[in-house]
Amino acid sequence: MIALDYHSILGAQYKENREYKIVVSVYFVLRPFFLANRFLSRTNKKLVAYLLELKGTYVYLLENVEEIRNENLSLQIASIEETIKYIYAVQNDLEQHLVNPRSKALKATHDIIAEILEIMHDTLRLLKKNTLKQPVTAVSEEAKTAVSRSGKTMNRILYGR
Amino acid sequence: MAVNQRDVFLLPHPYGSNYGEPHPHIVLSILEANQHENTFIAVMVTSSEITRDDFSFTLLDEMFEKPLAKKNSHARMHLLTLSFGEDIDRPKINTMKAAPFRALMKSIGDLIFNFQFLPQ
Repeated sequence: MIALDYHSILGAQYKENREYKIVVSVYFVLRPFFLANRFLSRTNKKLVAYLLELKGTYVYLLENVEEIRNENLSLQIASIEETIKYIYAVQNDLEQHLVNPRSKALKATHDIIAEILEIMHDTLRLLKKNTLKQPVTAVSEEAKTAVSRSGKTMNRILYGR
Repeated sequence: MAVNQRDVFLLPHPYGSNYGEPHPHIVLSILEANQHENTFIAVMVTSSEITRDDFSFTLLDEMFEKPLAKKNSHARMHLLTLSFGEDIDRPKINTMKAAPFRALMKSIGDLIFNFQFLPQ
């Protein structure tokens, strides 16, 4: 039940993040005008509210982890990964304009977004740790290569060959 | 060649190019440890969709100083390799930014070792 509700929340958050990307773009268009900073301060208040909501959701999931353990959370994981992609894009847009940060509000936006990303990664990790694991049917080529590489290094360290 | 934490190197297949394609690796260990015996610990990166699962850490262009060579790249968090410095046959191809690297390390600590890896 928690998993189903959380999926709805993630859907809403995804839409909201798309709006933030637009907001950031609008800010850089408006920047030459004096209203831009007021516009950004208002956005920051919304971002802080969003951050608090994310933190609250994370703590709630952490406290109720038994209820999601071994549920198939692949949909929720995919949603949160998509949201993270959007937030990184927003952060990237901001960083391009922060070479000479003159606006305190803009610096605050950057810091809030960095914290949003951190809590989203924490939530993603929590979901991945507790989701139902799919059994692997065959060992991947990547796994074989990784083991061969480490084996070769250990042989040279231990036996000089 | 100095091998720094967060550097990305394209490492050839351990038994030569006939055996398979080179894979990018993100260096996890710190310079001091890497210089001790000219070894380093890295995590393998792939763009194969078949191997994407809950041990994958999605990598985005924005997480690196330069865009990634391949789209849909992900780090295989459980595939940590031990390599010699001389296994590197070309200059580093990229560097991961500090904040996403911290998220990667926290994920490896939590999901692979059930430990909290926190930076100093």
